Amino acid sequence: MSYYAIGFGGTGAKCIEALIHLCAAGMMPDDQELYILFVDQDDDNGSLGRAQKLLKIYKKCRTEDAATVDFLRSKIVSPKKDNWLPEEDKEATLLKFVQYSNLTTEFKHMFDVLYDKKEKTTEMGKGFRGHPSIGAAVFAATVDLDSIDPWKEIKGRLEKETDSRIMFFGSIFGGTGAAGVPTISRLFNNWREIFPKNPFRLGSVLTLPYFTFKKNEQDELHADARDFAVNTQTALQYYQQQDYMGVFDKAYLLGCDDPRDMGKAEIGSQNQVNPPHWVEVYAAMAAIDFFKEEKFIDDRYNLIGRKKAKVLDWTDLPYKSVEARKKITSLLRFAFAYHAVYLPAIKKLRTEKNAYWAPWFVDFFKRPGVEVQSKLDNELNPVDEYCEQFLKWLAGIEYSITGNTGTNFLADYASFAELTKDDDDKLEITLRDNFILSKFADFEVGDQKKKVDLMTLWERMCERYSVGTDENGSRKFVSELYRQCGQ
Amino acid sequence: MKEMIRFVLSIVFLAFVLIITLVVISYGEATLLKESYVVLPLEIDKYDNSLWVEVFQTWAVYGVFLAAGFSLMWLIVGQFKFRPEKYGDAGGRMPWVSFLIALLLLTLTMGYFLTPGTQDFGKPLALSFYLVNSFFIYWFSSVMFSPSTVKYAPWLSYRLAMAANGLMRTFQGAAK
Repeated sequence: MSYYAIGFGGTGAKCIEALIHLCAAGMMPDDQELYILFVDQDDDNGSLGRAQKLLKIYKKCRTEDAATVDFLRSKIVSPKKDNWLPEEDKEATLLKFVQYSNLTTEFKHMFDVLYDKKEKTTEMGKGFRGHPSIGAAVFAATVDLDSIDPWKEIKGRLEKETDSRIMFFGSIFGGTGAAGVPTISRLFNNWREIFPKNPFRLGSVLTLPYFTFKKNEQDELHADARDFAVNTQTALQYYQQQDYMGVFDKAYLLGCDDPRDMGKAEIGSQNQVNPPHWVEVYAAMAAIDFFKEEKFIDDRYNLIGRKKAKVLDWTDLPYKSVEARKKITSLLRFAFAYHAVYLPAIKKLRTEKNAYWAPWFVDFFKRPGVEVQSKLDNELNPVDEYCEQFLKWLAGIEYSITGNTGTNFLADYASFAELTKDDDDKLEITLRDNFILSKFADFEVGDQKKKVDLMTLWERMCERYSVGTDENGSRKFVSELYRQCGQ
Repeated sequence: MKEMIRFVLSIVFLAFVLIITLVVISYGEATLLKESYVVLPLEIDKYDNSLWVEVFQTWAVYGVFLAAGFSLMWLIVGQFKFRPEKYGDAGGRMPWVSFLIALLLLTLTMGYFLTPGTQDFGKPLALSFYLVNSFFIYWFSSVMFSPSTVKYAPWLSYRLAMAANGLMRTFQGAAK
């Protein structure tokens, strides 16, 4: 059995970004492999790029012996090209795509009724620009699950597996998700009959508008936040009329009564990079719920929401709240300590002769076969890259709940991250040059009898030995630090 | 609570070291001194041999207590003072060396003024015994029972740990 997560468009990519972080925290139900695929016509989309980078880092950091601790426990795989573009030609317009000049007069007239001039003549290099009507036409014509990769690859995997779980992520109010999820999920549904040995399950996370942005004054075709509500209403009606929800064994609809302002709207490409939002954590947890579901009951409708508006607490998360807090905070503590304290120490101790200052360094790194520089390049720096990604992501999640109110629900990000807004009111998240180390003790995993500060952590690390004959001191160090951060 | 238990255990260990050292001094060194081949040049007119040995042993025992006191101080300082939260705060070797120098200076001073009269090379020999006593007790106890954050500060402790690690690897390899 394997799990599959397919993210459509920028929102889908951000939901998968959240899922990868939860995988890193060891929140997946078991150790089954997770297969990740992005679907986005805008290959340069900033949000997609961030999720792709995260996926790459995760795969680089994770080693086969990672399962000894929660950190990076789940194995994640992806196709060689992890983003599938429905239309490879980025300069193609809808006119070119449907070969308008070759259409009969009747079809041309019908086409002119369905699409306005901008929709027909805008190049698709920056995606479907919040217009699902363009995406629907492209998806309908290009998706061939039987003969083109990565769909062919997925089909091959499903043939060999049993009880696979496939989750689709996408927005219902945008372009790619609204067009792609129903089209491709229906095609997957058709496979059910040809894989009798693999009664796979289909699930979807469809997000309703949970963010907004300022109107873009450019004349180009672009998504307009004012259309989100209408788009959503229309899409939901359409899904119901066409019975698209019936395709799914489980569907999750997520929304937010307090959409966060993302600043000025950007028309695709690298500029379209939106900060993380707590709804995406819910989306990722919905996927985990789907993956671990044992009995699928047709007529059951569950409803979940926050206890209080504009507030999000650990107990609001759709996961065992004590466990969620412990796992996410453990990862936070690890990332904080690793980035601010331990990796800088390793870099210094590599060249200095004061190894005895840090006994944990002696015990884990002064071993036969451990070349510290090589370990830094291949194992330790990638872990740090992951830690940076996670800390920025968590700061963004916290900000999406609290804004600049100074209150904190999940973690006080001010001790490690700085959030600034540029001239276009877009949020930028950067890590502080100097973390406020004393705040580490405030990140409580929940079941501690007393606060554990960095001094205690240092002491505990100095008490640990890396027993063994091999050259895996650095991996054992990472595992041990993670273990200690969870206590 | 865990820290307190660890601290009490460290004290117990230290007490064991003291007891062992005392036994060695009482029986081992005394035997050595009384052996005919260990000749301590004495001012014969002031002391006879057995009286000199008795006084020497008494001061040697005080030296043991002094060294144990310094070991205890190192244990306390290491446990409560050197609690770094990052590499820059981590303690170096200087405090351990400072304690050692202070201990040896005190031992020398005590030995120089309080050792019974000798002649020729008798005094340097007696002082060497005192110094070896103090150094060994301080070094051995700090190598074996230093707090975890400064466990490699004592000289050679790092090398000993490497050697122990090597031995463990050898045994593990043989077991496989």
